[in-house]
Amino acid sequence: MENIEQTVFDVIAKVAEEKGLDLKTVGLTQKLVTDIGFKSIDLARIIAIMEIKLSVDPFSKLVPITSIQTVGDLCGAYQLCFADDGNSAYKPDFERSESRGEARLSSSRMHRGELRKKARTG
Amino acid sequence: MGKHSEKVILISGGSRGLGRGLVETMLKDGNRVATFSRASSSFVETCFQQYPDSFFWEAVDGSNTDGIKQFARMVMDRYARIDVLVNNAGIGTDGIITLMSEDDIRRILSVNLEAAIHLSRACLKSMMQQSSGCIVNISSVNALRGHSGVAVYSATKAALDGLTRSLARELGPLGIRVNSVAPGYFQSEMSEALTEAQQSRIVHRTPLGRLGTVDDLVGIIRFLISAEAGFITGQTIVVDGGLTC
Repeated sequence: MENIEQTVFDVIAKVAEEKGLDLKTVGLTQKLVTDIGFKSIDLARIIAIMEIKLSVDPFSKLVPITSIQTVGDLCGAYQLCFADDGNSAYKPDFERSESRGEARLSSSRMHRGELRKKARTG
Repeated sequence: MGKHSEKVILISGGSRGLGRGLVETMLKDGNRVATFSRASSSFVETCFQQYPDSFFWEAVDGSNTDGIKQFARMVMDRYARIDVLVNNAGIGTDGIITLMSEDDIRRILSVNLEAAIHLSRACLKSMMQQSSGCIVNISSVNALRGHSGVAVYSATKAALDGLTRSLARELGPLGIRVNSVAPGYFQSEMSEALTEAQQSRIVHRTPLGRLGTVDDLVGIIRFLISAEAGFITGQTIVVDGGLTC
């Protein structure tokens, strides 16, 4: 499990360095977007690198990607793949994932509504 | 080594037609080429003999999603990277849409579209790690103009162009380029199904006055995957002798 955590830390540090982000240390509680400054494409790249290193992709079925906010969440997702009978301390937050998905949908509906209104009023 | 050499290139459907032409050219350019098709052929056997280290082939049906993903993993295991993907495998079935069987419709969607999506997804894992790469989707002029009897085929090709533009936006920040090539009618097993009269009509309507050749298409794909096309992404390049202009 420690190896998985270290691998995640190393990959995060590598991607952050390549992006020129100012990341002195990597910690479990750091938020990937708001604290470190990653964008969704960076997260996709981290996951691609992890899949090549570990030959697993927890996000294809096991864990919703929208439940990942912190470095710890990311470590937990990979630990879940290697846990015996799913006995991992990490439990993906499906509720948070659903509510974030809903929020995105609702914001997208609102955005479309605003665009329609703007178009009507010229 | 030439300017096109030393890439790892995955080409779907490389045993005949355009796929075969691409495999031949890319191997001659010094690249490592991986391809799959439903069955082996004398061409595949010859490539194995001439390029034992730089040619890789497996029997995979284009409608077998798991098989396609497994193939991409095998290419990664063998060559440790994938630089270029050409989504070339495709099938065309003629017929008025209401007269087509559901199985035929499902198979066209699966081979022409789903396979390209899953193969792109699998190869992108490597390209994202490298922060470089190139995808070329083989579309068709049928994606751009309406032709009777090819509705489902046209839908899959237009979808590939949509995939191209969206992926280009998504992956541009990582230095990965995605383009489409839309061939018009060119000499192949597929055009052999046309009658002589149909071929003459097409030639007559084509400003350049002939059917395309595999070489016409290989040339543009070779360019698109080269450094010379380093600022081209999200485009559909039509290669049809001016038929749609």
